[in-house]
Amino acid sequence: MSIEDLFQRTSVLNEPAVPSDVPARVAQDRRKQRRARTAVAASMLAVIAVVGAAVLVVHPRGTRALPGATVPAGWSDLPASPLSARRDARAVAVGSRAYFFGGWAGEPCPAVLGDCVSPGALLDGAWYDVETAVWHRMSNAPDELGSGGTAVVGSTIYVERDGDQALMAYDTTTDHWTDIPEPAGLQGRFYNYELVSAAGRLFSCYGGSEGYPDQVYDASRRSWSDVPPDPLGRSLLRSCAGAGGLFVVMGTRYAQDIGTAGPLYARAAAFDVASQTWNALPDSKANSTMPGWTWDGTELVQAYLEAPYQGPLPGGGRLNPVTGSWSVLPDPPSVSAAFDLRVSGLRIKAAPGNGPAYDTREQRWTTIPKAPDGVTQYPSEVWVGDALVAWGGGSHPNSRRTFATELGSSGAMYRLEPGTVHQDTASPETPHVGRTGSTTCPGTKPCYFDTNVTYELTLDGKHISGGKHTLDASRTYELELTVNASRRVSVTRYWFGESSGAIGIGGENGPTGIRFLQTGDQLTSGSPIRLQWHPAVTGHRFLSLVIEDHVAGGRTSQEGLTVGEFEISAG
Amino acid sequence: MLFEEYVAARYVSLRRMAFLLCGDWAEAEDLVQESLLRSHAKWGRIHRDDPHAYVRRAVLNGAHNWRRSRRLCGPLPEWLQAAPAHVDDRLDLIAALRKLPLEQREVLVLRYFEQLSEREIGAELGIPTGTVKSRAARGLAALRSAGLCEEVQA
Repeated sequence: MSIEDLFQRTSVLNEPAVPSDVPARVAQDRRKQRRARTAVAASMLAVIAVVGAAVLVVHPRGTRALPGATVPAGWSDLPASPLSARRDARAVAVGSRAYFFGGWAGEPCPAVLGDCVSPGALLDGAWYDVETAVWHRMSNAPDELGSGGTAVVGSTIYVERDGDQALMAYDTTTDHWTDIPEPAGLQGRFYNYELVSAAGRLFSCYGGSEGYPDQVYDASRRSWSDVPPDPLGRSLLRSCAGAGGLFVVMGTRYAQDIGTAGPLYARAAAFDVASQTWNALPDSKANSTMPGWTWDGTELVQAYLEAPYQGPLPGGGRLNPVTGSWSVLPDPPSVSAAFDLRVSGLRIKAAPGNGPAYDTREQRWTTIPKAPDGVTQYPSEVWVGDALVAWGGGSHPNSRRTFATELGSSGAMYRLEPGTVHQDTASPETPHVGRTGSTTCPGTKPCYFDTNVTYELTLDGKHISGGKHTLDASRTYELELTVNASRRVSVTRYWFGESSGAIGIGGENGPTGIRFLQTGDQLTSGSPIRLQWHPAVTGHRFLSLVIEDHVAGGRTSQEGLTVGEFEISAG
Repeated sequence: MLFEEYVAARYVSLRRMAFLLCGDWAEAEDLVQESLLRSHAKWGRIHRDDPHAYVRRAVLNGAHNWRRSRRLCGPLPEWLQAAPAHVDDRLDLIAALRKLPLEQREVLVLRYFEQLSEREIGAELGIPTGTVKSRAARGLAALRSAGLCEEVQA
């Protein structure tokens, strides 16, 4: 037996069935059921922090604003901190205090050395009170803090350590650290669990698709117990958020359903901690699952600049967990390609340079100007009321490097300034306004392309519309296509088929002799492209497009949208 | 090739490759799902070239990223822990692969499961062919010491 045979046989060892528990039809049925219910509780969150989350300026209702007399608008320097310079310190807000602890004094591991342990882990920390403008030392943590999630429940900061997923708790009233048990069954899993504070309790939420239950921590008994299974079933990109008395879970459908079931829409359910009951919320029609959903007291809000799984998306969304209504944030201000944006969840500030931030109270984007000299490019940052407190971190002299090398111990605080509004407020998620021409979806597969699309076609500069146009294949024509859509779309394919709606699968010279004509790149809405003739394209031809809706994650049906009909003579 | 077509054609194979990399079906599933979602975002660009190479690379990158955060290959799955040694060579192979550095493991998986040539593996991983050979040789030596593949020449 060959080694190839052994690898092939081993690759099917105890192989489970490929998941098919979220087929498109079932998903649609569930959606109908949910619509029929009264939308109740809360929603969502997200998971894998690979993304472009933007700054989110969260103003929880009822939270005390900082006294304007002592904290001027704009940037102001912090007094010298008692901490040494470091990168990637944890930054957590409790009341009027900004806590900075842990981090590393050494260089991070090079990306190519996966087993490397970063040197110089630090155990100490300090907190800065933005009202008194005074630093105070914290007691040292009993063990390395590493990186990972944090959650604040009352006056306790819970700290998860990425990797071994150890958990520690810091009591801000007694300045005392304790180890706490980890949620059961999650050690060594690919995805970390996420720590969430809801209803005055600490929850853990597993980010992977497998069925590990969410758990809730009982501090008095020092033990975890399972939360009842959520009604979403098996989901990808699971994530959770606290929303007052609700523990909200969100996820997407499986990757197999992309393009047919709109799996990148957020699906959400809320667990009422008091009644111990789940409520399934309506699916979003535009928002995706992304890290960094934050509770502002009324709604969960997320802002981001870029999405990893779906191409361009709007600047984020809001969800009212009581009414179940979703809305879409306006697009963020444009970010230049040179802008060095470093984001993670809600933490960001890209200094030097301007940085966009979304203000949840004003419901609009604003810009944070360059931080004072002395503040590193990548400080640890946290919002305390109206102020962004930034401290420590590092700068890298070579912007192409992915880690900081010149560490700093300076800090500064930024209060939002008026008059920096870029865009208007969030708008309701509008069901798609209509369809154009043959964007209807023939065949058995559901079509999730509902965006209103118009297009213009010009031939040698002259607008052409319906009817057949005769062309000479020996000549060169300039055929220009412009697509305009009510949402972000791109033309991912176009071709001259032998019949309306016909498409060959398999690229150039497909089985029906259809030849794909390549564009240089995707066509963005409003940007014309020039189509190229190919000598093989003759006879009766239909120009068809596949248009992808970046918001919905769907596209026109495989047959595409036919926009022109031509009779091309061989010349 | 449309994304759905690719997934329909390659999902099973991708998951098996991920299983060989990590020895756990649940983790393999997550690894592939995440890789597909990442790939979908760039499908407009990659579908015309060699989407499988791109997605396969995404799976390997994902494995490296997860290893960096020490989430790759945690405790052995219970069914594997309970299995007696040297009864089923497939169990032995999974256990032996899990003991290898990921760099060697991925070379063996690409070579003997994906059946790529050393040159193709080098191109896929961005390493010289000589490095591919040395990693494969060290990996095979480890498999042999586990009583596997004794007849295979590096």
